[in-house]
Amino acid sequence: MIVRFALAALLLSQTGVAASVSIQLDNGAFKVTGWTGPEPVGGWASIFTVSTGFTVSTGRDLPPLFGVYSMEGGLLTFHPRYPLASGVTYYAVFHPPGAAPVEATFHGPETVAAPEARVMAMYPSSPVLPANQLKLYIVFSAPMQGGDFWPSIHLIDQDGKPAYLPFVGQELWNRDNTRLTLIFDPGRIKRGVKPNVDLGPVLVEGKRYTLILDREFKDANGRLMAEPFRHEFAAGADERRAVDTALWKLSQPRAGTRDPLVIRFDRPLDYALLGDGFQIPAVSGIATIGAGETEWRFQPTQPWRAGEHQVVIDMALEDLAGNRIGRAFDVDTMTNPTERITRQSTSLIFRIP
Amino acid sequence: MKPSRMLILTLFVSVSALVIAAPATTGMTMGKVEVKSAGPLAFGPDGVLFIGDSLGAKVVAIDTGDTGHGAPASINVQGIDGKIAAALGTAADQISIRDIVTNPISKNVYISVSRGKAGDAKAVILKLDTAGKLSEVGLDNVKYSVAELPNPPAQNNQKTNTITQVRYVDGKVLVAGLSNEEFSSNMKVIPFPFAPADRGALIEMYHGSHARYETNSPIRTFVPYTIGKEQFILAAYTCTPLVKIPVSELKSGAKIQGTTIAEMGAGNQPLDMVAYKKNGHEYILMANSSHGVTKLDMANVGAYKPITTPISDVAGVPFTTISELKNVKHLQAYDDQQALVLSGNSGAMDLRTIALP
Repeated sequence: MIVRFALAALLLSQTGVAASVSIQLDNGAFKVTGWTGPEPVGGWASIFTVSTGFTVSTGRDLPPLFGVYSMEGGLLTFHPRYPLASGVTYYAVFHPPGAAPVEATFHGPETVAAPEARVMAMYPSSPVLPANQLKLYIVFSAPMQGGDFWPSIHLIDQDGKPAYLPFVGQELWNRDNTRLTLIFDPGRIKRGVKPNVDLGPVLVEGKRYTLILDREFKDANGRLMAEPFRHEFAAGADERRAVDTALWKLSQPRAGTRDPLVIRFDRPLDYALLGDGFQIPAVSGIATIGAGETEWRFQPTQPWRAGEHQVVIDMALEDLAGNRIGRAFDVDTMTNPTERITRQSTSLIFRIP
Repeated sequence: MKPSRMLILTLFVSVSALVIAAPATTGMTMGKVEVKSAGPLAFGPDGVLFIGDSLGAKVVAIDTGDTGHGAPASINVQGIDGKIAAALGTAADQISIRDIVTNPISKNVYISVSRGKAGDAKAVILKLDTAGKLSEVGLDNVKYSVAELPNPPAQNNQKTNTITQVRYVDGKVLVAGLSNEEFSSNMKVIPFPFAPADRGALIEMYHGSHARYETNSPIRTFVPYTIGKEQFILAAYTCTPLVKIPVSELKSGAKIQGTTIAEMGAGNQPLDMVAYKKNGHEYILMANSSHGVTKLDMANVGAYKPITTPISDVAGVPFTTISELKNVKHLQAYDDQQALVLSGNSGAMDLRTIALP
């Protein structure tokens, strides 16, 4: 952390105090130099406070920082509970008993220069999404700021008309705030509930849409993005069928080769869940997700051995509309008596000739 | 009866009596408890505060020791986020207030905050006392216990489960959450005091509509509610209907479909609910993400027929919108006459008590 060292000194000649009392910021701690005295009855905080202010108008009406006072090397010292923040101004005030107050202003560390953030990709990457699309993933180049970003996200149709409250207003990030999940209002997707009945789905088959993220979507340091993000897609037919692994096609790698095993799906699957969706026990290799999230490719590190292998598939896998293996997003219990799946995984057997 | 047998019997009786009388903080560990992210808050008995830690994949219980009975006060802190940010030495746009809760004994307000807005944010718990003084609740030397939640693998930096609500009901801690990858959802029910090996029960929540379609749906928020002599939770799915679920059904491995009692309308995701009585009538006050604050008339809620058919008009429990309450982010119980409201936008948020409407 870069800490700007600052020194403010006021000569207190008018009060008859001979020494020059000043406040210094030293390695994140505020220190009063040129003064010694006993701790007052009201504690050190009654004579020495550090507060923050961000504009002239609100500067000094804010409560002091949390922290602890101590005497260090004969200097009254204040250690803030939390490190100083960039872009913040700190006002330190010391009231020597019987003398005029000493004040000093400090600034938090400089913001570390880093490339401006931008949106790297949106998933699904397919140009056509089912009208009952459930989730979108926005991948950023850098950690972003959570909180009040919703006004910076827009979904507009081909006529430029903004969609009415299309997403669940719950922020859902990955661990380092570089990927945001947007869930379409499930009440608009699920058949037979009031939002769906009253308003219909957010996406209408045959229409084109643009997802827009304004530059004002801030990064973790509070800076604007390098550029706004626009992504166009079309809405296709609803996908209401359960995922059926029998419809997938497996390539045929041969023993002794390192040819990839490719599983081609009958429809795109959820980008995030694909990442953890497949495993081939006892075979090490590198897995990648194919274009449009319609295939999973696995390149073994060692040549394939002849014989039977299996791909273990996580039952949490979903397609773009939240349909899972053997269970549609909203099961029609009239035509499909409900089967609530409790298995964690299923598997496909394949032979290497 | 032989004397030795009598002694054993006597001992057994005294131990049982002790267990019953033991405070909720019995068995807690003293020391530093790590909280990676401080989210939803709830109070249990004896001043125990529950903290939902989404990034840490756990619920932490701490003994606040704040058990002195406090007189109900009126709270009105303008610019609460600016004041909190100042005390934490940062700017208002660099903190997020995650939740607020009232200690039902002391009437002090506890606030969970993240200092910073990205993945490296620090979790902070604050106390606002009835005199308006803000202080930090230390987590370095505190009596605590922890319940671990199912955690995505550590090597997967992408998958997270966000805890959206924590409540204490009848000796159990109920935890609702949303995954950033899987839509389907489990509710977690953990007996309290937390037992070291007991990870509680996972309950699959389903939502049915039209007497026909059924979806494994996440519950976003809920509130304990008694109908007659039975303990329920009133819960809101992300797909907006309000349902009632008997707490007695929240057992390990259960697959539960709530009974819809109200449909709140599109885009109207409920954030918080408060159950209260006024002039002998029962109501629910509900803060929503987009549609302001609604007041539900709960008279005869036990007698309502479940909503099982598609409805084009408001149906089920009647509700009205409280138009003077705008931009409410959090709503919590305060006392018999007041609710606690956090409202406004970043940099200009207010925390205040309001008379229950």
